[in-house]
Amino acid sequence: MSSDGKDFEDRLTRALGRSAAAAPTRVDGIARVAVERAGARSRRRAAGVVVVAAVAVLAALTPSLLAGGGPARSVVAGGSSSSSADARWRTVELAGIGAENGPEPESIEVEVPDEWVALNPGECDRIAGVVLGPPDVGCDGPSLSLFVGANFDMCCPPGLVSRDGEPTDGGYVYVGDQSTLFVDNADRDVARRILASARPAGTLAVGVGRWGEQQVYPGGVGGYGVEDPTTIVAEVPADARVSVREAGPASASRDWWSAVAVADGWRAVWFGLGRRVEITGPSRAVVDVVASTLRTVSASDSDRRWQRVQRDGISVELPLSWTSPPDCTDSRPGPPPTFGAAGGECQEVPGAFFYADVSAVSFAYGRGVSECESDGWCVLGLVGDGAVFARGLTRAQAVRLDASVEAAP
Amino acid sequence: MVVGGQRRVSGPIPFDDWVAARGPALLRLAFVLTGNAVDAEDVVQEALSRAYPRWSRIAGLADPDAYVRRMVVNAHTSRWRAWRRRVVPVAGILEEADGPSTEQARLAPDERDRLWRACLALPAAQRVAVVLRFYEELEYAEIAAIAGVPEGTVRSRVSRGVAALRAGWDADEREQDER
Repeated sequence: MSSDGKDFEDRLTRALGRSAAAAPTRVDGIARVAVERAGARSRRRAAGVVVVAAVAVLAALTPSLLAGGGPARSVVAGGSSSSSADARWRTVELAGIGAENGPEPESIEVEVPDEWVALNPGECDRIAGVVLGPPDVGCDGPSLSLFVGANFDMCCPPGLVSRDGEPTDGGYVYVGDQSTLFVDNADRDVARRILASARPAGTLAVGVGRWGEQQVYPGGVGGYGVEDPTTIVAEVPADARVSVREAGPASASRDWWSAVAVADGWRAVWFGLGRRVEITGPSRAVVDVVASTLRTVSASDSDRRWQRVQRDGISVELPLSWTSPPDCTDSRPGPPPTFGAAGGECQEVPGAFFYADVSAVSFAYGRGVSECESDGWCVLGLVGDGAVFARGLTRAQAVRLDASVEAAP
Repeated sequence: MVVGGQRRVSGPIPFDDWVAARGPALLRLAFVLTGNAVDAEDVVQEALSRAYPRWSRIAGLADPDAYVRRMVVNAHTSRWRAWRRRVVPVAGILEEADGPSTEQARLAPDERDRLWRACLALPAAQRVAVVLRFYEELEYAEIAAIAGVPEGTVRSRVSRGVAALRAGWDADEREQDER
């Protein structure tokens, strides 16, 4: 290793060590709280053992009758293989736990890999009523969990949730009036099929065994007449009742969706690239899963997502989707950006402002990359007497844009 | 067994004593991994709550520290926790810590913070590998045992994590030089 590399690693070690010095130091009560938590988990585990025992007995009696369950039985999980021509999958019916004085527990149906079995929710530290997963993998392996009436603080919209750098996927969907179904740590195709298949028991199954990619928005023309190679695509199951269509420009940005019931099924609306995309389907789960697969796809060369523009003696790279003038709503005081993203108020959309004479302008940010006071990252580039100020960028975009600032030829 | 620098010769150490001796180190590790005091305490509580029912067995291990440290790392990396924060009701509230407040820690604008923040922005698997390597100063084999992945994977994660940190650091340095 070079001495330069060793120096950096030493610096990293010192930095982490000094950061750790700011950690909380008092451990009073930690042991007590840990003991209390362990007690609570033990009580949940005891309940889980009863549940799993009931499931096991039922499974031994008859696999085809594992369904439903009256109020006297808190939860039933098992398999009544029905739908799948694909022998590697089966449909199971799961019944949630009914809360005291709460609504009647509802049953849902969902497709799972054929080898999955009921796990012990208590052992896996799940407050879920039902947990299924592969045998002999343990609680950290792929799993499905069904919750009823739980109040979650979700990180992301319903559907598939992927995390950068993680090899596995999962997600969650709402089913029926009370149930939330989670899949953790599963292969992406497995998670997608499980989640998209979930539906209230007794309703028609959704065909989620085969999926394809559908182009929804074919790109457009950006600033200076540059062809925008960016498209919007969705993963769609081979069920004719599921449709995805572009529904026009978006007048606002939104990063969250949730399907709503409509006359003939469910509908969700997704926003991206200043476009509105509508997804409809027979179940809430499949609509949310499809919405979660929507993404923008650019040409393989990432440079094509950027355009180099020149204004006021400055040459700089900007996101290709920014246009001049931006396609935004100019209803508030203040100038719109010279180049900007589509949708929303011009005074708020991500964009870039150019100034020919910086002596006439007072900037709230220093030169280079800064965290914006509102959303995202900002860049102030100075070239001679001129300046470019960009806002609403991701950190990576800001770094790239900042590095691209130069005097126009 | 060595606990807090003192060798014990009789029987396994009681849970409370062990937590008193090793709790601060676990909190520091969790703090470096999570980036804030609240999550650090939650992660440590979670790990200890799992250790407690098995304490008689864990305390008899050759290296109970390593065992519980692995539990802390697992508690931190669990996607389950990340998705459903605060789902499980907290069983109690710790007294206020002596260290800087979460807000103070978050806002400390010095250079150590730059590297640490950059580390926190790494993908979870890389972050754990980098912290265990450069904060806990563990060998690759030890990290592999904690993370449950082959040693080669750990080396790759550390290498990529350091490369990403280095790239960000160099960019920031250039940026400051230009100012």
